[in-house]
Amino acid sequence: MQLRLKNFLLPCYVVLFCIFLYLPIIILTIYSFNEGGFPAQWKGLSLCWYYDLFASIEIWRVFLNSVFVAFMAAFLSVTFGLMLVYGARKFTTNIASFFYSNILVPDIVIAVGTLSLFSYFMVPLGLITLVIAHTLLGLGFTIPILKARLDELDPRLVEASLDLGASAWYTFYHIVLPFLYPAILVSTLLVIIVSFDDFVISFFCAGSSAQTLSLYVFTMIRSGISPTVNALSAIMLLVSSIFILVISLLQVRLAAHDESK
Amino acid sequence: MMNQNKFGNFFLKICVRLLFILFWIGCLLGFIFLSQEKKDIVEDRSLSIYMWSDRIDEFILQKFQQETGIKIYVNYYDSNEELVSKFEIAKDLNCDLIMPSEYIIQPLVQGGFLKKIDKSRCDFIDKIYPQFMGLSFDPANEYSLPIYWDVLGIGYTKSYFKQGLPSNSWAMIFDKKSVPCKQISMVDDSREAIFLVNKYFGWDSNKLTVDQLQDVINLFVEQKAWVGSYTDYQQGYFLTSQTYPLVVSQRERVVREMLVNDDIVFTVPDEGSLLFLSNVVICATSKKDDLVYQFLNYIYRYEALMHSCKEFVILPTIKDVLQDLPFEYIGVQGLMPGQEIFDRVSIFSNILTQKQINDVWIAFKSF
Amino acid sequence: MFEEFKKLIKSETYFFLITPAYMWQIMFLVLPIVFVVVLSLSAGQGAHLVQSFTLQNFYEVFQLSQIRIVVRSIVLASTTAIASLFIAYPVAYFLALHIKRFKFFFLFLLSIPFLINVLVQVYAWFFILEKNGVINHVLMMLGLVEKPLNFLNSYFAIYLVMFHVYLPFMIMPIYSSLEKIDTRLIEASYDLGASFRTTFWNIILPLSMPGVQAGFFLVYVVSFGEYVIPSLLGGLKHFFVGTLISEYFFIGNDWHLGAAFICLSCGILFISAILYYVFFNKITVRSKVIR
Repeated sequence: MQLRLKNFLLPCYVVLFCIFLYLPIIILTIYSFNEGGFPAQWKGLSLCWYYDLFASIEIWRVFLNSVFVAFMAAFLSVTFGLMLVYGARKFTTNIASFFYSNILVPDIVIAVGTLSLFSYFMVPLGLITLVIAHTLLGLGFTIPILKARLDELDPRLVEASLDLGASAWYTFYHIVLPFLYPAILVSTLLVIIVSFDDFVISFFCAGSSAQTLSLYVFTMIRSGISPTVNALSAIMLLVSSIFILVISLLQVRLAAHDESK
Repeated sequence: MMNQNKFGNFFLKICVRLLFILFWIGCLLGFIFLSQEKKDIVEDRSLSIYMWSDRIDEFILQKFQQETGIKIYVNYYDSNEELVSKFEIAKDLNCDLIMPSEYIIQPLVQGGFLKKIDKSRCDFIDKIYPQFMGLSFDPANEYSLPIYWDVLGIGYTKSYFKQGLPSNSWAMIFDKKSVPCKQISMVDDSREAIFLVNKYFGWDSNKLTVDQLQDVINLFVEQKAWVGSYTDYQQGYFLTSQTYPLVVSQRERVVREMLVNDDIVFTVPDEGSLLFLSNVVICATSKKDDLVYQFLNYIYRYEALMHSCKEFVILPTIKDVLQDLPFEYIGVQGLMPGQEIFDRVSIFSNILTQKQINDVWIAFKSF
Repeated sequence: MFEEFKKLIKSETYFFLITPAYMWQIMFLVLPIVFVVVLSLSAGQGAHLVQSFTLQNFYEVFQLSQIRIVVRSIVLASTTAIASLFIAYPVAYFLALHIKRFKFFFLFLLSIPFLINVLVQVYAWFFILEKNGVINHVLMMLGLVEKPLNFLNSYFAIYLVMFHVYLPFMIMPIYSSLEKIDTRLIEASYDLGASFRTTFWNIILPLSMPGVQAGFFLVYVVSFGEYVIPSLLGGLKHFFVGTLISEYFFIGNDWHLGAAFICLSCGILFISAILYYVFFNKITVRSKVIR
């Protein structure tokens, strides 16, 4: 490989690109440790905003709401996705493609439609309606992932197990499910992240009684800068990164596992 | 014989499938309604209130609960229009008391959602300033009683305008030649903005023709050149961070910053301005009259009102509370009822339909 | 008889399993959209939201103001999609064809911004761009300006942050389609003496077109209905499709007009997407390669 300028051009570009991508968030994280509120005053390192964050009752309440919605949505969408993917394993047509529209349709259309539907049928808006909407989103993520993984399962294993006299349930529980564990974990984490990150659907469908983390941050931003939100953003960033790390590691392990076969 | 069998099989198949579908739908509906059940278990000695998030302090509600044993469930809402549509859709909203703005009371009354207030059971009636009673939206105060009030005005930073503001007129925000700085911030509410234009042009505030509305739109489009942002929340932040030296704002937001920052001043222009009133109304479906009046008398008490007003920097309609309120919470001289600035402010009666108000906003923001 | 019944249920278990997901899809995706269309074609108040059939809503919504707003959103979405396409393509190319090791690390690095909360990113830019923010601070320290500049509440802020937020969305599709290219084709091209430019235009680009199209349409469609970024960073001076829909539903309280507007803007979006699709196909045909 010749050390010409041309060879450096592309890597430099990529590095600049990564810096641009990460700059705002890194700055945000740095300043969340700043004792002064505004960027113009660097008053020294301090964890005071984090203390404020953890001491605030309202943020905990809002956080627990978000956690409830995220876990319920993840549970429902993974369960239903699993059932669909397993139940439709013998179909020739690709069912998963029907669910791609969940991600493609603009959030706002889904949000408004769900709002109108629930209002018309007089279902009170709240955390439950939010769970329902997020499960819909989640299905769009879990089904492709689970289907991709299930397709890799050798159907002869299932046949063999059935031939040897195991019941359908036993086959599912002891052969198919363990094979799908990584995919299940990946999709659960993904749906949890997506649910935490979602704003538009919460904005329209949560009503005024239920507050989630995104809605709370939105209200705070509308009133100006607040250093507590800095600390909150830094924490959300950290948690998202950990989740993504786990997902990526799982996917690498899957790939390595398949290669070694 | 074979055909019959096949048909029977097919029919059974459809039945089984339908059964499955019904099972799942039943699960879903049960899931939804089970979660609603919990919400409906509301004890007898309790009240359900709908209000803005900064009107009554939690502390006062807790004290009330301690003193009387009545539990208060608070529901927050963001916009008055949302209230009306909520009521229209769900006949029984399970609420007892609401604290809406004045302009939404007429629609609520017309929809039959409110119950008449029995003034004899309220021990604070004679303490309310007469200037807040008998206004056009509820001439005999049959359905509503005013509790808080506020005004719209201009907030600015002293240090930017070293010789003071060039004038005390709405021309500073509407007239290109009189704008004293590069950019200002304007309210994001269509109704309020239309009223301000009305005052600026000196029109009759009980009538607005279509031509006048078109002039309003043209003025807004022209005004966009020097408006940095339209907001109902960020005015205080804009002043303290010196993003814009002049903002159009409710008095409450500016005075809140004035308490900690000497550099900020609030003023009401000479042409006059908008008066906001928060009122208490009782829902028609409420069956807990005793508790409601107990609560009303409690929140109108001297200590409760004083606490809320200091906490949220709003103004009360009760004479002794307002007179005892320290000046820094009022923010501008001459604002008491009967004084010069107060005489300039008035409410905006519902002469325009919601649709006309919306259309103005959409028309000019589409440019 | 009972045995037959049991056999029937067993053979129908798959239906039992696939029902909830489909049901969810139909009840909460298809039905709401149908409901929006029905709303746009009806009039009525409150509890009788769907009372009578009328085309009045469409007449009222098909005004110059609303069309201007839709066009504004289309311009925003197009600019975002095109800009991120050009900026993200080299990165995806580098990732797919130049990195042999550390691929996992780079993928991980590029997935994080993808899944961070939009609000956190908007807030981060808010923090940087505002009057007392980092950029103004640096500019003043360097003595380039005397008084801090206003970056926020402008088109500049909206476009910049949209571009930043949607950039990661573009990388993944292009990367996956670039990765699937058989490297032997590229090697063969170089072996036959073609320059980098020829190889790129005739082999790499056409073969990556599926990914390019996927990424483009993903970013285009999703950024069309964006609500958060124009609302928080634009100073609410101009309406975009997202903010106007929210205005109709929450502040204006006219759900019928709002629904009609959604139908109108989705219609225009669909037409523009088809135009882009035709354009992409023309490019692909022009540089088709014989495999």
